[in-house]
Amino acid sequence: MTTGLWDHETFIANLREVGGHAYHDKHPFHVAMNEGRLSPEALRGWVANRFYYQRNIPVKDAAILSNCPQREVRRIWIHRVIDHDGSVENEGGIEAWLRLGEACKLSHHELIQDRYVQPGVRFAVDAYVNFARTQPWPVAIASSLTELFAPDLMAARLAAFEKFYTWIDRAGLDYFRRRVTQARHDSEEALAITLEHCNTPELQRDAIRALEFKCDVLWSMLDAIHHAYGTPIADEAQPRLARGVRLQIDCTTGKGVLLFPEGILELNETAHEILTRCDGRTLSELVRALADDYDVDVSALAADVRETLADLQRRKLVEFA
Amino acid sequence: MITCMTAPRPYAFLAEVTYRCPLRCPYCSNPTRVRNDRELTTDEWCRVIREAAALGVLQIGFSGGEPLVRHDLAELVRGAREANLYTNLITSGVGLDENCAHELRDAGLDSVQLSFQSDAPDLADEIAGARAHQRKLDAAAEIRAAGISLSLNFVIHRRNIDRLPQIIELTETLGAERVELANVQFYGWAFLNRAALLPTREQVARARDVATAAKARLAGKIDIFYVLPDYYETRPKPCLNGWGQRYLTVNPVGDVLPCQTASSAIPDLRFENVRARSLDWIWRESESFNRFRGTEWMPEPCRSCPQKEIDFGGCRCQAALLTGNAANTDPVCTLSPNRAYVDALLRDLNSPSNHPRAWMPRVNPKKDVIQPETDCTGTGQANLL
Repeated sequence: MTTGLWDHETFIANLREVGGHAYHDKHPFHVAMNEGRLSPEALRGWVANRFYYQRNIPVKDAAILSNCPQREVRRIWIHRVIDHDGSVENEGGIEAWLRLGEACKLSHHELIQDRYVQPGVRFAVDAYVNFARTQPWPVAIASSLTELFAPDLMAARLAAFEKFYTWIDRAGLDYFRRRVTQARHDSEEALAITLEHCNTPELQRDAIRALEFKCDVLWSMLDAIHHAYGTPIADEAQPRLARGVRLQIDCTTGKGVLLFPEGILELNETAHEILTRCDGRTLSELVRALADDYDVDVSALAADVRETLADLQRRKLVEFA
Repeated sequence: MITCMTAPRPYAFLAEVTYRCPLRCPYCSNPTRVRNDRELTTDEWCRVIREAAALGVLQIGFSGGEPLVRHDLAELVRGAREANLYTNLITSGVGLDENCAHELRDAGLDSVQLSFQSDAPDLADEIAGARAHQRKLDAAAEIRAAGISLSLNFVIHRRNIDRLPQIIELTETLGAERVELANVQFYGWAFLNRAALLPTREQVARARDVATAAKARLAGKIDIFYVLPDYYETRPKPCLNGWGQRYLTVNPVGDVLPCQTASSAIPDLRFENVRARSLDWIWRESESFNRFRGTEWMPEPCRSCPQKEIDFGGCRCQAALLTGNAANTDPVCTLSPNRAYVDALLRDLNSPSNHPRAWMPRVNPKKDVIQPETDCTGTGQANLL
């Protein structure tokens, strides 16, 4: 094990290596989100849970400020609190996130009351705030470097939202637009402070560990969200009716119905056509077959099929092999 | 008759194939007095099932009593499947061994709703009045092994409501897909045993929290249906989604009922029998189905109430049992002039001096049916506690 002081180049390379394997852009839920595979409910779940993180960020940054005796650093760092909390001229990141929630049909009230916050998300975020309170301030600043790993993450997310989640009002995506430039600036600033102030072998190694810890925070949040809102449906998944569910034609109306314990669901034509093809083929085969039969574009159809099946999966009427 | 043009379509058919049952639960919804008559035969049931399907019914529930005491149950299930009905068996599980599970599955049974009395064996057996708990656990395993969809049902009351967390745990262990945690509703034997069964306000509040938390925790894994204890509510339940709208029940001797508890709760209503009339005629034209259909029959405060299409005036049987008149507003409703009956009951029950009563176990119908001493099928409020 090296005990010496790293030069800046090595230090930066080591910091980047953490992101190479642990950053949350590799989490299956995040991948699914950027590939447009999340249902509206799952996306809302992400927005609502992520809000708990957003609204605790200024508290975290204020904790760093309160531990930092250096005026030059505080002058730089205090911008983060203001950027997020907003000011008279500027609505701030939290307000922008609330507008994102609104565009997703989540009210301010629902978000501010933490109504959908999963226990795992709460633990992770609270642990992050506590970390910033109790660690030496240069180490706490190093933990914020995660945005360094993916300078294009915000741009990619914005593009994915605009392309796949067209049910969200575009005006609600301002938060991401703003972060595209802000994130780059912030991480460069934080990197400069880290390089300057994590200036002993111990502090450098603590900085690496802090970054690993922060990656774990973000990863755990997605684990909890993933657990609560389900796995997005993969192309190779084979949809089938759940146990105890039967598909048949209602002789009285001529329409398709799903029958299950104590319940009857009348199907629209799309859902009925999808379900009659749930016979062991994969989702992508099913989409192709439907597109052929109805002479429509595969990419337009895929989202519909996925959403219908995800909805039926949530009602436990469909499962995937 | 005008109503014959407006009769809606029934979706679900409850076939009470027998009143016989090896258990003696004090909340049984069997009538407390049973007409001493022959049960419908296999052929009669199969005919009624076909008639129900022709009326538009999509789901049948085989219930009782304990439907497994009928040896022709698999044949009835087959008949229902041939009529394209979704088949559900509502059972205590007693008698449901491996052979039986396979026979029913092969006949086309779609799902089983298995009742439990508690998670704790001793309490469960005490409530059931029989050593049944272990047999239910075995039955659950057989149902799973046979690949049939499994739901559980727990009737919740004063003696088991505090065990809700453990009851939910048992549901998880047994691998059920859904569970009904149904606070006891006061009809039949449960009405007689109200004072022993009704939970206290504190118990109800705790149970609600437990059920809400479990619902959130198990979302996507187990569907939890928590049926509220309606005496503690301020608005009545939308019983049956309206009288004669979606449901019909045929009892063991062939009487057709808009609601399974109507025969004992509403003594002045005359029910038609499938041995004398077609199901179609009974559904569309009989007085028993038409009397409370729609909103025309409603008295005040229901008649002018904006909720009348939401709760349909509540439950006719409850109105009859508590006020002596089935056409009254369900007295659970705080707008009902009779709400005082319910309040008095709750006040007594929640007073510090109140101690739990003993209950009377259900008695099986025999030639000489042992009748309870008090007749509670009329104006119930006289013998509330």
